[in-house]
Amino acid sequence: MQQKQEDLLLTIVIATLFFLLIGIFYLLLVFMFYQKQRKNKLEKEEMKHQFEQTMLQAQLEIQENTLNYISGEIHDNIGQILSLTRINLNILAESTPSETLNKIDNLLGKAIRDLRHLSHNLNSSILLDLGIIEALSQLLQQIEKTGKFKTELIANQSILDFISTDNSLILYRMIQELLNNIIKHANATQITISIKMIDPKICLLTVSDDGKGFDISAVLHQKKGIGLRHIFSRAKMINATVTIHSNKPTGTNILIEIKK
Amino acid sequence: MSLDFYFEFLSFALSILFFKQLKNAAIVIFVPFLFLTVLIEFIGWCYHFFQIANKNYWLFNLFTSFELIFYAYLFSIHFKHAILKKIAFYFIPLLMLISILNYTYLQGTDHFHTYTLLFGSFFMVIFCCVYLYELIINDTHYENLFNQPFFWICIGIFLFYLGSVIINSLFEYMLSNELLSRGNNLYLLITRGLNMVLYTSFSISFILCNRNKKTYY
Repeated sequence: MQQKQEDLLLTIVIATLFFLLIGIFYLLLVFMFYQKQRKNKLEKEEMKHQFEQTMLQAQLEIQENTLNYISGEIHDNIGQILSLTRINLNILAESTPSETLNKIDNLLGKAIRDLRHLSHNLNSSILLDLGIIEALSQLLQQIEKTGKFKTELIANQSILDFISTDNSLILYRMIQELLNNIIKHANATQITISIKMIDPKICLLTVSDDGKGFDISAVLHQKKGIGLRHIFSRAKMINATVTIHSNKPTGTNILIEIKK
Repeated sequence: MSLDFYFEFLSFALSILFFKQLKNAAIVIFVPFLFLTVLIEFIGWCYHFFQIANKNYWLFNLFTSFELIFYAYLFSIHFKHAILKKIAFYFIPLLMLISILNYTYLQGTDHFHTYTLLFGSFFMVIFCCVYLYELIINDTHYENLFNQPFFWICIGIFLFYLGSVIINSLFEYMLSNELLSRGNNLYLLITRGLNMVLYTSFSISFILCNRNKKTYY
């Protein structure tokens, strides 16, 4: 009888342990399966991200080639034609002086200068020749020449030397896009670009204006916000983050944090 | 006081300590639940210690039903699929009905309601399995399983009810016949061990809530 009782109690203990072991085994299976799923999902995300980066890179390369082509055409073809036109006009003006011809000559001169600037802006070789800081300085000078804006560049000449040529081109295009937005939409009078190191490994580039500001979420959710979205996707490519602070009456500050 | 009571109390104390982090999450209802658990255990102990009555089954019968209802409610919140939510939710009145029927026609007031407990245990184990299944087929979750508070709660409930199935099935038999003394000891050993597992898992989930400070539970 005693033996029977002991057997029964032992059976209960063993059966309980057996149930618990099954439970633990089930939990282990769940855990292993979950980890595998998680790993697969993360790998898929990584591949998707890499694919997007490659696509963006290809898009940018195509865009740069197109811009360089247009720049070349403006400089070598349209520019030449206008220069020849101007020479012929000057020959005509010598034989038959006229006030109207002088005006046409002045306008042609302005058109040639503007086209040359446009050609320089579009051509990425300016960055290779001058470096990004000098290129930005020239860009701001051109904007200031319109007489509508006061501009300021606060930066050490070598502060962005750590950025590769490809990345500096992407950064330059981002800033161009931001400046275009300011010129087109902001109603600003002052544009400032400042670049400083806020950490040994982080460089902060700020583009600020004193314009009317804008509603960031509204712009990003509209189809019109493509330019701004491009800025965000380009920032991703150069391992930078973009933060926008915009107050409707006091202007906009766009902060680009570039990691070394 | 047995050792498992301290685990219960620790779990309750942690829920109070991390109340700020828990209050935005569904598991905040653990605070009153654990308070009630500790209170019931204490009253049960008083019954036993001061020998107020021979048996305190009525107290634990009520609490066991309430506990199962509480867990079912938790699952109804945490299930993602609408049908599963409904099943967990409709389990609550079903359990109440079973409990009343058991009280009225089967085990009455003088017995521990093992039928209700076994019925509830079966569903709890199923709910846990289904919850874990939902967790692994979810496409949007990338968090580590061990960082998810309700995962730990689920583990605790799963092991507790799975481990107590056999001992509860044979509860009546063990406390009768010749097994009374050793059967009782074994029953206490297993249930107390499982209680410790259960309340440790609750404690871990509260600590995780505090660490994560996110509301994905």
